[in-house]
Amino acid sequence: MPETLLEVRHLSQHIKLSDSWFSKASYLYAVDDVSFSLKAGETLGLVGESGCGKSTLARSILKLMEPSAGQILFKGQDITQYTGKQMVSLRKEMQIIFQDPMDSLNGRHTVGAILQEPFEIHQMGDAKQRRQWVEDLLLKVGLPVEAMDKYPHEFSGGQKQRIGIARAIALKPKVIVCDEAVSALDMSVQAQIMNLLLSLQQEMQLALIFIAHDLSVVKHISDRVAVMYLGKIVELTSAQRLYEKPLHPYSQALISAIPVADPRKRKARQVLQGDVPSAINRPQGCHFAGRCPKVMAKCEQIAPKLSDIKDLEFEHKIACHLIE
Amino acid sequence: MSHRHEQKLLDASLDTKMIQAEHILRVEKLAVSFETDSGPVAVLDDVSFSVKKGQTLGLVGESGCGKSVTAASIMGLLPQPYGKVVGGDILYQGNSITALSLPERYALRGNRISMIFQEPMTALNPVHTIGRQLSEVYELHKPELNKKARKASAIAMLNKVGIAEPEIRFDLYPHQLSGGMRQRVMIAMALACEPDILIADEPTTALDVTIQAQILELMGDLQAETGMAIIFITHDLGVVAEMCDQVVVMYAGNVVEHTDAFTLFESPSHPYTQGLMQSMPRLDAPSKTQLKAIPGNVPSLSLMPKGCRFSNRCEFSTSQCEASKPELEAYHNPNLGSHSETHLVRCFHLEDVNNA
Repeated sequence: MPETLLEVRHLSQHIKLSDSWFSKASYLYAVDDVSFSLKAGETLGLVGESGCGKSTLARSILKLMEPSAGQILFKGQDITQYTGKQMVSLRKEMQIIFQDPMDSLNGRHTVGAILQEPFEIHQMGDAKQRRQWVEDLLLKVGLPVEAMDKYPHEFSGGQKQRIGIARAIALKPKVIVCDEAVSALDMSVQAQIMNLLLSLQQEMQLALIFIAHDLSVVKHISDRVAVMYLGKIVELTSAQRLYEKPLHPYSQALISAIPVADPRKRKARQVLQGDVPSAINRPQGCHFAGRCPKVMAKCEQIAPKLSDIKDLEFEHKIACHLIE
Repeated sequence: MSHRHEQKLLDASLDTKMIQAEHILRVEKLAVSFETDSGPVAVLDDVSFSVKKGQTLGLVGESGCGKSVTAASIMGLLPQPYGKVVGGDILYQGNSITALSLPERYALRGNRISMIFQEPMTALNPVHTIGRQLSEVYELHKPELNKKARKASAIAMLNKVGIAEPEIRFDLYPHQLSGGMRQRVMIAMALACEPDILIADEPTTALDVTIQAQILELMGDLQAETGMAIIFITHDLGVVAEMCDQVVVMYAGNVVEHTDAFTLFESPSHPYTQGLMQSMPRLDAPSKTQLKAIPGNVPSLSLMPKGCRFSNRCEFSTSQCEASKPELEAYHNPNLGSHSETHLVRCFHLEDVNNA
């Protein structure tokens, strides 16, 4: 049984919007009471519509944003109160890959300099060793060694993402957050990068938190998937089970909306009406009640809690009054 | 010549005329080149397809394949002065529209042929209310309407695209609307003059799947109602399967495969189409397995292979492919059952590719 690497307990990210003497402070509830755990070598997918808090959650876990409540445990250690200095050494273990590599790679540095930087920050090796490590990294992500002396703009989108991945794995981390890491890529290149992530994961026993709006991509790369709606996890189970038998009405609608690449399977889909409500003035009770096709009187009063479905041999958590 | 024979000939010519009328837009051997500092580059080369009334044609391919340039050529929106149609023709209702004068172009664009874009926020003007922007369409194309009639038509149009409380929303600015709502406004503007052809350039790519489903449903409903033809540009094969009757697969400025959606998904025959389909993660396939990706990247236009443009990434490539260009030709895939639709593929080695 692999160890639990990361545990998130009741994590919240409430962003204060206005604060004046005359009005009551209002908050944007970006992430609200989220709990989950992640094992070594495992991928947790995060799905949900834009604005549901996927990226904010990821950033809070890495402490790129200070969480407003809750705990983050890494290898059993509570890192919620860690100072910036303490976090530096922890960053070796936790990395992130962004959607647009051009935004996260310094255009004025060569790829070699970009990839050496992590070793410099952590004062590892001498110049010769570092150069060797960078060469190894480039080969590992499928780039030629000559790439070292080029600048990011000389590469295609897929190759840039490979550089981003090389930098993320440089210090042999345990956890990598992939925030829409393949979303900007073309289909054929997206497949190359997903293949790379899968083989690196196997090789290095990486735990991945994989955020993407493309549900087929998430299904393909994840062991477990959490569905988020308006800052809360509404369903969490294995990828296979979620896509075969989603139980939350929101997950059902989300999965039914995926276009299937087979014209013979054109279906009368369950089209979800309306938009996600604002995370500032959230509806009382279940946040999904206003769009839910199976809404009951109770839903508008009491918010359901995320809890395990009873008498199951595997994990399946859901926050819905329909299933008790 | 017997009377009967004469009648037959007349019937035949009527038939071809009917077919021509049915094909509201034909693109024939279109070639577009862009002037660059290092000389002209061929962005489109030999692109042909036609669209029928009430039909949806999908243009599929990865970035740089020429989907959007094809749309821009039809709309007369090629970047000036760099972009030029250097060969072939575009026929709207049988008449060439490649060399229209500006007033003729204005009469066509937005009126008979409209377009919607991926990101409505960049296509809508942020400093004007959506009502004003929508009324402008009527101002330009239906000058006979007075201000009151324009507002009434605009509100009716907003209602038609599923915007609740259109009277209130009429006075809102684009930033006050959600992404899906903005795309609905774009569609309302594009359809205000009941065009014959709607070109939709990745209209749902920036939207969430749930909102995408709403917009696709809306487009389908409006098409059924008005009988317009849709040219649907997308990179998402799922959306193609969902929406399109005919599909044109493009790679690096070429049409590589052209057939109906059923045939395409049942027996994709060009190695590139096959590669695309295999590199797509499928919901019914096991998770965490390696996908069959197409190696390499699309070459830049100035470094395009001389022969088949896909030859440097193709596993079936031979010296023939590197030396000469294959033509888009009719093909019957042996793996396919009874379909009798035309299936056009651009490849020298179809036998090897489809028997492997």
